[in-house]
Amino acid sequence: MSSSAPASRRNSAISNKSTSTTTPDKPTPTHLDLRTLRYVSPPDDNLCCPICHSPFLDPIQTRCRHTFCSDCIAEALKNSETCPIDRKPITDEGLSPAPILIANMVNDLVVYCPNAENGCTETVPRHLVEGHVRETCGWVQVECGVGGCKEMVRRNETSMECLHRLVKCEFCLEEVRRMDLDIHYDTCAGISTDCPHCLTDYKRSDWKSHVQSCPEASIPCSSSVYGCPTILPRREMARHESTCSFVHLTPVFRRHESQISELALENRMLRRRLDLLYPRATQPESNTNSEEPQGPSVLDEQTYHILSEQEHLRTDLDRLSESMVALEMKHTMHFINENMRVKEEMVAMRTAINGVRMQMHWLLNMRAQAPFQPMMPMMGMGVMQQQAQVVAQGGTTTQGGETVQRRHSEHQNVKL
Amino acid sequence: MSFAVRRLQKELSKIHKDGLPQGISLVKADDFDEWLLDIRVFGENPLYKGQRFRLKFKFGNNYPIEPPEVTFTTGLERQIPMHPHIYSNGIICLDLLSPSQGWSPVQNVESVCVSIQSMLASNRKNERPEGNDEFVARNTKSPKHINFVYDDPTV
Repeated sequence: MSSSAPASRRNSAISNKSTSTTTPDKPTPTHLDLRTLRYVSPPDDNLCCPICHSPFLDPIQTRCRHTFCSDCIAEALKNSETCPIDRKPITDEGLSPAPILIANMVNDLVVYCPNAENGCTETVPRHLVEGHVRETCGWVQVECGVGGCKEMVRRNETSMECLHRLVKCEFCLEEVRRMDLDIHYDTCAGISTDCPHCLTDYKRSDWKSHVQSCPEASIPCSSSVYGCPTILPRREMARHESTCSFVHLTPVFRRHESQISELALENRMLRRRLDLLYPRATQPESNTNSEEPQGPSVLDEQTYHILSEQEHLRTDLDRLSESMVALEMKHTMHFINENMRVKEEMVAMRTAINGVRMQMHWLLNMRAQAPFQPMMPMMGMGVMQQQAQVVAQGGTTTQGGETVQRRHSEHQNVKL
Repeated sequence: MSFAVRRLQKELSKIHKDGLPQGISLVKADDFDEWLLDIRVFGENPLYKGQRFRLKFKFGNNYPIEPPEVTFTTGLERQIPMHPHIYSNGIICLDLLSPSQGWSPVQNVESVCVSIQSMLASNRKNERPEGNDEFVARNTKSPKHINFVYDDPTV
C-alpha cells in the first residue's frame, strides 16, 4: 500500500519527461510540415486547394486560371495532364504563381504553434510560424550550452545554470541531475514524512516498518475472519481482544475448521472410490453435489474418459461378434448349397453307372446266346454301336434293346 | 500522416459539420481505408423506389490523386441495384471512377455518391450489363484496373 502510490507517481513523472524529450524532431524548421498546421478559425473555402482541401501552400495558377497548391497540382499532373477542375489540357509550362493577393491572404491565416500539444499557447500568422519555432517557441528542444553542455533542454527552461549538472540530494545524499531533482524528491527515501496515524515524522525508508507497529494505526480485530466487525487503533486492540467473545471462541472455531477440512478430504477420497466402483449410479450425485468443485471434477473427467473408452470398446466388440455370426451363417449356407449340388451329382453318377452295368450284363448275355441265333449278331452289332455312341456323348443309361426315344429322355434326366 | 489521411479527415469533418445531400448517409467511417455509405434514389423511378443501396469506398494511399475503389455491396436489406452499367457483383462501370479517364482529384466522396445517385435515378432499364454472368464468373481484377469502355452517354 505505502510503496505503490509513490511508484506510480514516479512512473508518470518519467513518462512526462520522455514525452518532453521526444519533441526535438519537430523544432528544426526543415521538418516543419505546413500541411499539419491547425488554423485558429476555419479557413474560407475559397482559400482552400480543391485537391487537399487545406489553405493553399505556395499557390499556383493554371492557364485556365484555377488555383492549387504547387505540390498538389504537380502530383495531379503526374496522373493526368489536364486541369482537375475543367479538364483542359495543361503541362508544367502552363503553371504560374498565383496572384500575390491570394498568397498573402493564405499566409496571413492565423495558426496554432505546432508545439501546442506540448504546451505552447502561441498563435501566429502562418508565414511567421517557422520563425516562431526557430527563434522564440519556448517548447522547442535546444542545446543546453551552459559550460559546453551538449544535452537538449526545452528553450524556456534554459538558464544560467545547466540543468544536466549532477547535484546531491540534501536528504539522501544521492547524486541526481538538477532537472530531475523535483521528481527525485517525490520518491526520495531520505525525506521525512508524517505518519498519517500518529502524526510523528519518519523517514520515508522507515515509514513502512513504522506503519506495521504504529499504535495509532487502525487495525481489524484478530478474529475478524470469524465475524468480529471491530476496527480500533492498535493500542486499544489488546483491551478489546480481552473481552471479545469471538477471540474467546477462536480455538473452537479453529478446531472445527480443521475437522471440517479433514472430513472434506475424507469425503473426497470416498467419493472418488465410489465413482470408480459404481460410475453410473454416482454420476448424478457428484453432479448435484457442488461442495468440492475442484477435486471431483478432475476425477470425474478421468473416470468418464475411461468409461467412454470402455463403452467404445464394448460397441466395437458387439459389432465384431455380429459380423462374425453373419460371416459364419454365410459360410454355412454356402457349404450346404455346395454339398447339395455334389450330392445330386453323385446320385446322377450312380444311376449312370447302374445303367452302364445293366447294359454290360445284357451284352454279356447276348454274347453267351450268340452261337444259337446266327442272325442276332448283325442286329446286336448295330444296337451296340448305337449305344456306344450314346454313352460316349453323355454317359447315357439304357435298358437293353429299347428305343432311342427312351434313351433320349434318360439323357435329359441325367443332365438335371 | 499521409496525404490521403489528411484529405479524408477534412472530408469527414466537413460531413460531420455540414451533413450530406438528401438520400446519402454515412454508415461507417472508422478508419481511412474503407467507408460505407447508403444511398437512396428519390423520385418516381419504380426500379429503386423505397430501396437503399450500400456503397463501399476503398481509399488508396494516393487518394485523391487516384480515385477510390467504389463498389456496391450486399447486406441486410441491401441488394445490388439493377442497372445496365452495374454488374451483379457490385462493380460499377462509371468513367468518373476510372484513374485514366474521368477521375479528377477535385472529386470527393460526396460528389461520387451524388454522381452514382443520379446515374441510378436516370436509369429506366431493368437489366444487367452485357456479358454480366461471364464477367462476374471470371473477373479477379480490382474494379480500378478494369478497362471499361465508356460509350453510353445516355445513362
